Amino acid sequence: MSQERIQATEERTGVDHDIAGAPLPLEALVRLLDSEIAAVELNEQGPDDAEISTPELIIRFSVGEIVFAVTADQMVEIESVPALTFVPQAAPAVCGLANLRGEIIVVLDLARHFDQDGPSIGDSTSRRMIVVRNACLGRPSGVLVDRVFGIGPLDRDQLSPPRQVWASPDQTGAVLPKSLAPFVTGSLTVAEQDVALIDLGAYARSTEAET
Amino acid sequence: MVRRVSKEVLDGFFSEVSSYLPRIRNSLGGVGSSPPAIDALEEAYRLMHSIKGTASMVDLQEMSRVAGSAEEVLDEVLNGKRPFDAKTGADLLAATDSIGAQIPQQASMTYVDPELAATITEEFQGYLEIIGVQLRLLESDQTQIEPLAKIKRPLHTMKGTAGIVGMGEVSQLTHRMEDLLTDLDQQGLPVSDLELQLLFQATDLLFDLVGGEPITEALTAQLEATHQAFTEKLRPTSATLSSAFEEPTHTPAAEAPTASSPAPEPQLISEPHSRSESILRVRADRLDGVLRLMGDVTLQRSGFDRQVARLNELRGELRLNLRRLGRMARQLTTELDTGGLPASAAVASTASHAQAASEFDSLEMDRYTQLNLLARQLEEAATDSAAVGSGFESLAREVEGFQTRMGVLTRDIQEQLTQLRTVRFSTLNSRLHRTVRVTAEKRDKAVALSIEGGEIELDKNVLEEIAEPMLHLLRNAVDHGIEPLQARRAAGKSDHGTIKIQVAHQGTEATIRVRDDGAGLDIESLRRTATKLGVLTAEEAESATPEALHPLIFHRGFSTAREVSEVSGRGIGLDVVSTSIAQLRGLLEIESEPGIGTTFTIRLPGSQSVLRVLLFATGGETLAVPLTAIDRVESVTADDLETVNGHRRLTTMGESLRALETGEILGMPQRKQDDPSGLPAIILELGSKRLALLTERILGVQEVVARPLSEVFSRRLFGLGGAALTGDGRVVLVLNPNDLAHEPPAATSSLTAPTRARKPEVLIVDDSLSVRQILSRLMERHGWRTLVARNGKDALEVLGRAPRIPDIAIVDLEMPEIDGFELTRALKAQAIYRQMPIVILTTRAAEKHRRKAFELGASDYLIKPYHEETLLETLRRATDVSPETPA
Repeated sequence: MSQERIQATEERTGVDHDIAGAPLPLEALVRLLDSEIAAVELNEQGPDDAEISTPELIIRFSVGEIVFAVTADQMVEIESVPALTFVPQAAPAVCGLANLRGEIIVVLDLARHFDQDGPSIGDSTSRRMIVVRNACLGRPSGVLVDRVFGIGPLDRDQLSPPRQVWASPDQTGAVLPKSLAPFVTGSLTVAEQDVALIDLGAYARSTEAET
Repeated sequence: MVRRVSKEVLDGFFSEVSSYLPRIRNSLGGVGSSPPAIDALEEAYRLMHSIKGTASMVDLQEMSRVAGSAEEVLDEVLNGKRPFDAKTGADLLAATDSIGAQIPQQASMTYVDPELAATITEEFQGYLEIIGVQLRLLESDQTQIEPLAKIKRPLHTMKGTAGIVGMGEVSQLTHRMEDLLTDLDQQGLPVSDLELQLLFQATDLLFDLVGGEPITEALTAQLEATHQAFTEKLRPTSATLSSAFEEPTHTPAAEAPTASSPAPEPQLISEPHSRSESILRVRADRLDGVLRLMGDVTLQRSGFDRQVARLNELRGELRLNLRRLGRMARQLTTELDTGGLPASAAVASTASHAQAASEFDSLEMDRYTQLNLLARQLEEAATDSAAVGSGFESLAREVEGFQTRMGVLTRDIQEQLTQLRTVRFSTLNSRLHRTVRVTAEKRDKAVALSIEGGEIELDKNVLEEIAEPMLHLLRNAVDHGIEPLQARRAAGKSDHGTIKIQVAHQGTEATIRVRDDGAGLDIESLRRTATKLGVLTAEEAESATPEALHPLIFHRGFSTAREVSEVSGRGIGLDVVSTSIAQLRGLLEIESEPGIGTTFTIRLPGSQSVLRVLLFATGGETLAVPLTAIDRVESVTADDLETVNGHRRLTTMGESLRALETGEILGMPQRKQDDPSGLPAIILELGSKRLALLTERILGVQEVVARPLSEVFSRRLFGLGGAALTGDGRVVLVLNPNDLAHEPPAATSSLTAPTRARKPEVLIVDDSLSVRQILSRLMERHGWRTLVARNGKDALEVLGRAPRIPDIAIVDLEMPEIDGFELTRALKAQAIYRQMPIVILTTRAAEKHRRKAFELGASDYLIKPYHEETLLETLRRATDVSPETPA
């Protein structure tokens, strides 16, 4: 396991059961994640498991009213929201530059694609930065999301084409912002909830290219 | 048999064999020369063996067979069963050639060890430059013999090296050139124009081949044409020459190996003449790696600096507390000894059984002595602590000394490293000459190029980046600057146009001037185009001075040429040159005089990686500007500013400067206008231009490691050059001062995005170290950024240095120097802090204190010990109800 991989795994949150709960501190996420991994590993060793390949994993997160998922191989790690340096003239989704262990990265905010104002950082301790690989630029990008929920296997057979309107966590309809539509590659249902599979790598590349 | 081997594998194999063959030839030595050494033969044996095996694997049976028989012969020689005579040698060479013949042509070019390739490319470019210089000498006087000899030497070396590393095309072409030169040399003829042109053409081609140009069809065609030209040139001149392809010539250059066996002389590699200087070739990326590391060291050092500052702070507090402790211990002992404080009373007040003890106190000798003993011990401990404290002090001073020396050292290393990365400007000379020559030929003009200051050294990366823009400027000068022959004659100028490049250092800047003696810019045409494109109104265009019109040619779509020329092509114009230079944080200027000529001046800033910058605050953000661009900083008031034609101007020290609101020009949130006192203005000096940047606050000078913003954003952001990490790990944007000399693009303002997603900041003012620490940790845990101050006076200083006004302050009441009440009063009296909520956190519970605090403008009043949740809730409320920053 590479270091990155370990970090990514560490941050994967095994908290399917905690969608409506209070903001989760990172430590709790990690704890839940550990148990999740243990469970996954246990399953893999099960006698019924004829598949040798490890299942493709997705991390679910919410922005505005919509629950998204990104495949684990696209991301490097999940961080708390860093100190940001405002960049004038940048594209609206660019919320600034941050120092990620000595590397200057661009941080994008998915919430800015939604009409309403995203929650401010100060009072939303649940906000996280998903660090996404960005091979084109040779350095990662940060994408801010409102909450990170959990990790789970991705069943590609279950994938259906992307839609315009999604059931939000409170079961009312939520409209996917047009600007995000090109990056949503499919929809699936996890724990009876609509989830939009988004290609965060492509999103980061294309949004940064606008700037 | 059907060949099922993939093309990649085959190509790889051919490349490998191509690299073996010269080594085998080398090992075997020339035919007829003394027998080669055993280990050389062993190498040839090993290589043949390897070819045999691999060839068989990729199904090249014929090659495998030839290699196999050669291997056998070599085996016999090595075992003493067969002498290594001339015939054996010739046979083996024939076998080698036979193997070589089975390798398809193009594969011979592919194999070059990448590490070696970089070195060779550089070396070859050096040779080609020498050749270029000599060819130009020859061009000026075609009867000279000397340049011919000087060209031959590097050609010869190149031919040998190219043969060894398998650069077949280079080897062949240099061979042809050498033949032609030998021919010329022998016959003592003056060089004809045709021959000279052929040599130039071949040199240009070599440049392309060596520079790693992809082998395009066009290039191959050119190569073939050149070969053809050589063949034609060489054929009629002499019969002996064609024999050069079959047997060694007996000219002074007789050591030239024949085409069939280009066995290099052993000293070819070890002694090209430039090697006589002791020069170590280092790959640029390795050097860059070291530089990056050094940049990080600098960064660490500024982190270390902060820690030392913190250490000093603690040192001060420790000293104070130790003194206090010592004084108290002494006082206690003295009081006990002199009976000022009856031991009994002391016992009575401290002992838990006070009541019971009081009856016996005068008789309790034990207790008396015990207390005295304790007091003595306390005094001793205090003395010991003081000793430890002074040890700590001297250690801290030493650390400080180390820090200073380290600082000087790192700066020195940095400077020297930066110098390592520099390259002479003259490494570009050949390309520049070539461009002028080719362009002039195409346009049928006679143009001479002279280069001054070629010895000036520039950063290698900068030089690489500047090459294209330079070539563009030269093409432009030949194409549009220099007039056609008739026009020149009519104007009484010499037939030859002149372009002069002058490179010079000015301070930390380098300047490159490209001056032509052409017709100068066509002002009328500029006026017409400006009106047509809508850049200026007809009246503006009419009234504008020529100087004001000149820079217009850097605008996109401007073309003073009536027709599109195939040479400099008008599609991409000088706007591209200007942009490339701006990307290097440079500046492009133009001067032009009708009939005299046009001068372009490129100004390039010094070293790129570590910058000394002035940090300043504007629009609530911290920005940096390189010190090299700053003339001075001064405080200005509203009276010094006026608005002329919609531009703000600042009058200071007798000059009137354009004044830029930094935030406005970058498209940042507006700064508050209500500050009554002076504002700092940074006076920038950019080449011939001077302007003033209006800012909110100056934060000091720091060394930062800057990364170009182009590495981060693909679109250029006006006015911004880079992003840098400061010592405390924050990211700050570094201005590109040269950008500011231009007008901002019109779109800038519409792109303004609101500032959001910033951590709230709290100022904690308390004289107790532990309270400060506990509070900072609590606040940081809850997503706040913290600033701390030891007392009211310190708080005012901290605020003065802070990049922006904190969202809230937590203030203790009782503090030395300036207490909480006074601080609150002082802050509320200043306009810029009036909006900052102040929460008092104190042990004083009395109502009169509370009332006074609220009278002075405090937002809330909390009593220690506080409840965490209450405190957080209070802060949240106070910051929420507080209005947004006033417009």
